[in-house]
Amino acid sequence: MRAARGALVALGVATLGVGVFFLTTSLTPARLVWVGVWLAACVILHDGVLVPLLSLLRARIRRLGRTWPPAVLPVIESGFAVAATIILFVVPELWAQHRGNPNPTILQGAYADRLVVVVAVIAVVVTVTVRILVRRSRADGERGQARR
Amino acid sequence: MGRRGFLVGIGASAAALVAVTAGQSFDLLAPLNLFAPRVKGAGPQALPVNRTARQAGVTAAAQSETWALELIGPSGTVSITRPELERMPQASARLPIACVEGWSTTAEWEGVRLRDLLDRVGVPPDRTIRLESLQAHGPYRATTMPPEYARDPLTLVALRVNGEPLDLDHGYPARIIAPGRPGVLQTKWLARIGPDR
Repeated sequence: MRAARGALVALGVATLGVGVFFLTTSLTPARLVWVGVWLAACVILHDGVLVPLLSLLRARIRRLGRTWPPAVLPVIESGFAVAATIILFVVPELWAQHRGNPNPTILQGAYADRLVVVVAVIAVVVTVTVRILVRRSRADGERGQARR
Repeated sequence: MGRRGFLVGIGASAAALVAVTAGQSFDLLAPLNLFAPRVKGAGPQALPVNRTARQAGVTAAAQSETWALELIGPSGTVSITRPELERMPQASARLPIACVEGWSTTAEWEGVRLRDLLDRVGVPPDRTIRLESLQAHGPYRATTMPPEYARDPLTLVALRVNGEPLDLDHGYPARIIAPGRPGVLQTKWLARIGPDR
């Protein structure tokens, strides 16, 4: 076990080394600076903005949903994850479209309109699923009480 | 959210993103392609373009009346015009442009086998080849090609694609197309072919 762990660590360090070697030998210093900025911005955006915001949001929803059946929260959070993943993919495309693009075979779609529709569809699917789950659990609860 | 819910959420996200983007390369998902940067079959001659002639700065040079493909070999340098290339024995190959950016499209290519051109100027069969584009700048203006690719009967100096003369954006007057190489190495707007020094 110990030997296997050691080997894995060595492999990871070696792979990192190869990556750093090619990164530093294939990019100009000016570009390397931008790679650094990009990586730092990722950490700041993720840990400084996204995580606190999402934690607040999640706490809010959990408080709201104290009486909901346990399956509801995963449904809401999964819907959120699907929408967020697609938004993260599409936003850079919108930015690139806005910046202008000399190649007529790329980035020609009406991505903004489609994004609105897709997010709306996800919201509808989540809402309908949640309603069904809540209604079903209430019906179960009433039946349970009637039996008592 | 428990572990199961987490995995379901991540799985659903990945599946959804693949479903709405992978259609740029796979026919099966093409009707669902909402967000991929490209659309399968969109572009001149039903083939996408990564770098247009204008972006590469070759619009004038590629349409010049005086264009000729320069072949360099031990038995001298030969310049071959496009009509002369068209009169040589033609071969065809069904090969994809497989781009490292994540799209891939297969097309029907016609042109002269590269090995026929290399033989014409006496390039030895074991030599690595250097292909140069009309492009003045850019990391892919020149490509080296090992002999196993250069001598492959499917490797063409392509003049036509999908039944039509190459579009300017696909490398007119002549481009290379070889099996098993990434799209950026399929040099467009060929200017010069010879052994790599």
